[in-house]
Amino acid sequence: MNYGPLLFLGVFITFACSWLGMIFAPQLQIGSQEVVQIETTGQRYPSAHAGQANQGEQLYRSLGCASCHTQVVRPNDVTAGLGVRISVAQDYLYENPVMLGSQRIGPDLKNIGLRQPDMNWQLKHLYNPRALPGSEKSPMPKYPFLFTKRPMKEGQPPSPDRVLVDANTEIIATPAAYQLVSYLFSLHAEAPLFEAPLPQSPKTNAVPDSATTNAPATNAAANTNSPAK
Amino acid sequence: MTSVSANPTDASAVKYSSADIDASCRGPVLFLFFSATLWLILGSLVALVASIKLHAPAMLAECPLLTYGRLQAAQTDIFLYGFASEVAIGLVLWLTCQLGRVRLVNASAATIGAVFWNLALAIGIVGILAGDSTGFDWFEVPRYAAPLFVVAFILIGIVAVATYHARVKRTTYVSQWFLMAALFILPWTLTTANLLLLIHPVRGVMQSVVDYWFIGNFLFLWLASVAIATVFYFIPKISGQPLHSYYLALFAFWTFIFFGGWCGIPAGVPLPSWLPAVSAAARLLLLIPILALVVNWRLTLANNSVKGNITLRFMVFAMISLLIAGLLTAGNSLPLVNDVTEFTIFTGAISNLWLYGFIAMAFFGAIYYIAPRLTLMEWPRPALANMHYWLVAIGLIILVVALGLGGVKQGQSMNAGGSGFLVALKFLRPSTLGLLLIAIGNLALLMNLGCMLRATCRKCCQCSDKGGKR
Repeated sequence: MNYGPLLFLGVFITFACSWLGMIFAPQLQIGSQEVVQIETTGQRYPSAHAGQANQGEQLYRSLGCASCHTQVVRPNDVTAGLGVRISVAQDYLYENPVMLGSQRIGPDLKNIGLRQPDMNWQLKHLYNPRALPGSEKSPMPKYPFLFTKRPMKEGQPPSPDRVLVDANTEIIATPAAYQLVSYLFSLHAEAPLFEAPLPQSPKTNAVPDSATTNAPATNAAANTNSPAK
Repeated sequence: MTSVSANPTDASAVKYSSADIDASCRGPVLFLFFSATLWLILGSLVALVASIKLHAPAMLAECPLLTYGRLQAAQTDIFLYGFASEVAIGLVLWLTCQLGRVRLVNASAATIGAVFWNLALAIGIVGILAGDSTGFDWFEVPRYAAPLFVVAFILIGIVAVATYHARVKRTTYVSQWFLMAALFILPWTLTTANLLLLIHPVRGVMQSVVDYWFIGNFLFLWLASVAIATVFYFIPKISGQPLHSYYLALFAFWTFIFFGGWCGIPAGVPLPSWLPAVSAAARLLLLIPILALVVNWRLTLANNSVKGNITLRFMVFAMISLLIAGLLTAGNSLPLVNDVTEFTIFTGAISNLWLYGFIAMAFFGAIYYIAPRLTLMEWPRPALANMHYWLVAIGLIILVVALGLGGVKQGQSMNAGGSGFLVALKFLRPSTLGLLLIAIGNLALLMNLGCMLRATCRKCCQCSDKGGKR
């Protein structure tokens, strides 16, 4: 160990093992995943984000939303109603950057597009989360800079982008607010996949064993229309 | 191969005196320690504001620069790249000189490197606050700051390796293995992350794999390795005892470097299931080198009293934290535990134990030992050093206990279908208190170090004034 090059060689080999195992091998396995066709519906999955949702994703990144919100549904979370099935690698094909998050100071958002598809609710929530019934204790920040304020004048028609009226002032959503909500709406993973079939009932934890059934759950199409709470 | 000296104090080849060696690295090391302390204070303040915002989300809400997500990313990177990495670089330089009994090869190149590192980070932090974060945990610094980091690291890396190569004392000590391994692995990790996340982003969730791998290496093989090297140096040095076992240290080194590279991937992520399983096994096995390290240090300390020496007290705190962090990391890799704790604030308890409990505490201890030797004067206010120790220790215990307990409660609530984060919020209040104590403690370090540097500058200016008058 007194011979420098030997030390470097040892460290090189040790660390190269880690690189091969943790970077190279996973890249071979999942690095070139492609869009798949869902057997039951014939749709291709996942679909690329619309332009507005793409811009919203960059806002999500820029504002650091992932420091409080994860985008992962685990078996326990299916039971808890955060999604209709578990998340798998296929779900993230078009995410760039992929922001899985590491802790939940707020709810998981992988299926927020299914759970809360109301545009006006989302905009109001971004403007002031605590003003909404049921969220009075929310630790989520307000995002007033995604909105503009306009004093109301008599005879002036209301802005089409009006979110709410606050003390004779119209709160109007900016394009950025719409982009962010579009991105949130793009977050839904309910298509049955071979590796992540839909459970028989979205409320139970009973994921069918794909090795034995070898096919997605048969009532998949019915389930896709019933968003989890 | 000759046998390796078991004690860093054993100077078999005396070409340069310790004072000589200290003088050679005075500039870059003091600069790095001082700028690191400034970053530390800034990071503590940002962390505190972010934490308060969780309780009062309307505070400073109008300003996009200060929104929670950006502050959180900024404080993480300020701590990792500003405080921890800068002290680590300073320690790499100083320890390489001391252990090799050699003068720093090119101090001005190292100083320029340190300046570039600070510049790169300042640009990066402003970028994050302006919204240019990359979105990857622990790697938020935007791409345009990377070239400066590269220049900084090349300068510092070359100086460190050249100094190691020029060492007068040819036999190596275990600290040097950890330092050289860290110095080799850091650029590899950073390059991979830069290439595969920012320059040619890999597809889909593979990005998360690269990021997790980066996080694991940055924590275990860069920061923790340097901290281990530091403890290995100071425990025998201050206690005056030779290292208990050379072979145990050798064993700990190779196992730590090996398992450390596989630890990054958490359990519940949407990846092929062998990946999180391999990482969980590695985190469990990492306990073996950690136990080897702690046993070795404990037996070296033997019956030494730690009360008198501030550095030794920090080192012992770091040692205990390492043991608890290792146990929690291993325990948390068991599915039984992880089913409850994953995605909760429990994660924060473990990372704080590693980053603050082990790494920062070992670094603080080292600063308290090294800075007086570089400035050639005693700490102006020893009471402040004492205060720093107690405030950070108590603050950290509050922080870790609050996050740990809160994480378990949050996980139980989440699994029962409840909104776990409202449960967690109750525990985040005491954690804010912990952060406040830590911030005040760090301020004590800044005051002490600031006074010391001012006095040194004065002394230096007086000397040069006298020289000028003559």
